[in-house]
Amino acid sequence: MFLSIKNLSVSIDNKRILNNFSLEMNEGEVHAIMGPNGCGKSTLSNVLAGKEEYEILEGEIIFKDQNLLALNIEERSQLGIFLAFQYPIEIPGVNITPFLKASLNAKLKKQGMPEVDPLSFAKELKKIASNLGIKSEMLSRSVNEGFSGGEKKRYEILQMTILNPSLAILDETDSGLDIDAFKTVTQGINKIKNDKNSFLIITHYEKFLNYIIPNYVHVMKDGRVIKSGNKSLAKEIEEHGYKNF
Amino acid sequence: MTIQETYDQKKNNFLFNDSIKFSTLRDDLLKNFDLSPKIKKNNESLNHLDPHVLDFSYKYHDKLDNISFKHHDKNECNIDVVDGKISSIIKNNSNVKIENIDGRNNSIEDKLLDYQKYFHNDYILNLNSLMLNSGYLIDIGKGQKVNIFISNSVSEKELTIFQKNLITCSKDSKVIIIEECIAKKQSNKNIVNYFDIEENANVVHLIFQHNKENANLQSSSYANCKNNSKYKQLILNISEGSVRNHHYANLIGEGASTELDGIFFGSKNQFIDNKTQVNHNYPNCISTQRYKGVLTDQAKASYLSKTYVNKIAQKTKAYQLSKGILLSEDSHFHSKPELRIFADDVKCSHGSTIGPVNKDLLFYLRSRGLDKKQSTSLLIKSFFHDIISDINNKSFIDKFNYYSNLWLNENNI
Repeated sequence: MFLSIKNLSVSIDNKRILNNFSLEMNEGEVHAIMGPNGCGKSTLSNVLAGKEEYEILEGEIIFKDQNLLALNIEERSQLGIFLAFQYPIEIPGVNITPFLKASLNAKLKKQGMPEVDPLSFAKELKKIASNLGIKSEMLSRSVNEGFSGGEKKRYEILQMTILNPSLAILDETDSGLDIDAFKTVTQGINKIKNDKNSFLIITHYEKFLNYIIPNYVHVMKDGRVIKSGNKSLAKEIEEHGYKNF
Repeated sequence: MTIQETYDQKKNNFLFNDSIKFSTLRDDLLKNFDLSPKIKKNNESLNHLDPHVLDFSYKYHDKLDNISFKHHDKNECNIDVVDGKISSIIKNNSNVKIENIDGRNNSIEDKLLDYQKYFHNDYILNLNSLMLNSGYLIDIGKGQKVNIFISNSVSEKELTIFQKNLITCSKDSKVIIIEECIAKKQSNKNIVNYFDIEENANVVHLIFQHNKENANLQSSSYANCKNNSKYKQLILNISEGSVRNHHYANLIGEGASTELDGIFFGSKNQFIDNKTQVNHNYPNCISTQRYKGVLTDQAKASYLSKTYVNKIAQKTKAYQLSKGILLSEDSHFHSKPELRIFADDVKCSHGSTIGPVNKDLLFYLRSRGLDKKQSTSLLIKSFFHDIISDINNKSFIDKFNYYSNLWLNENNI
């Protein structure tokens, strides 16, 4: 199994957020998670990425045959997990291009591969940025500094494309996007999607799933999956909300 | 040896030792060097000072004022200051006057005595006046545009340098001073810079402090800023010894502005005592006071920032910022912003945050595969970014990058 989460219970500040959460994903699959506010969707994405403030009460996460909970944040990233943040953070003074190059090199080093050639990296970065509608002058700016909401989300997808993860977790990447940015971002995601990587999409809107078709849709409530189905489940939620669950 | 005993024994070694006016001042000052616990407790200037700094034994050799002069083509001055006195000058601009203070010039003496009125309660500055043994004068002519590089070093172990410098930037001058204060030997340097910044003059003063352990530094400055003048100061303190940085700006003309900024790194058992104060005495003046520091091990730092706004100083804009990152449980940062406002149409604000590296930022960088050390190092540079990005001097920024990296590596961060 590519990703197996079994009976995961997690708390923060003594408040239980995930409660016996279980989910299994195969390589190449797209899973969508929907659920009312506060049901634990963002906690799930943060816990998968390794955020340290959470207390793991019970359960396990196996990713690519490794015990994910035993790995720290950067080790998880180097193993192929990527979290596209719901609210990407501004980091003044940390320039985008060298930061992304250092990130990629950290991953390559872990894989025992040589560092990326700076010139070809810059060329590739510029090309991907252009496809995502990111102006090349933005690549000389600080991480997310002064970016609009839409620009931040595009920039998350740029990072994802460069790091080419095996599991991408998109935490409400569709929120705050205008129509054009929505199309560019979904096109960017579809471009890197293949049968070797998997996507865990957290969203409130069925519309996003019309562009990135999920294999499975899961409904989350009170920290666990209460129903799983195909894309029609998203349509049902769009029409009737969560009152039937 | 007590201060009185040192004074009695070494007074022939001090500057202006023949002057009646200076002797009167020194006699007055001596009355206040009683360091009883009560006096000590009530003297704000000693509250955050490394107590070892006061435990020195006076040692200074008065050297002949034998300055080596050279000329070069660039419009800049290079000044070597050794043990508080200029030893060599390279310059091509005759409108920049540079000389040592020799203790025989009455007008300089009067000027120094005039400045004394601002500091009657500061123990360290009074000590500087009492034991004054060195200093120099720089006079930049009207409308001159010049870059000045000053290297301030110590030649001998255990020297105690009490130095006063007078710098006049005449009307319409545009001056960049880049000063390096480096001491590799055990020593104590107590330096005071007095700036007279005349109308429309624009002065940028970048100070790099890199003193080894046991090389203690007390650096002070007082800038009088006239109409529409600007004084910007940035201290970059990457010393291993104790450092006190107390800097004042007095805005004495309409439209004057000042920025007093500082960056400091502290480790081991270091004491870093910072203070800035801006006095807004005229309307339409602007000031910024920003100090940021990173501390680890058992290092202690303090930052007192004060803004005084006179009742006639309407339309004042004043901002204070104090930020600290604590990388260890045992490091301490004491921050105290103060606003004393007597005018009613002003914009004054202050902000202060002290704590560990922001966890959310750390999570973001680490989630991209960078390890904790790499991420912390990037975030520390990001922390100083707003202050550093205001500096338009590549060599100073390169120096900041080089020495901050070195500090991070040496402290395993």
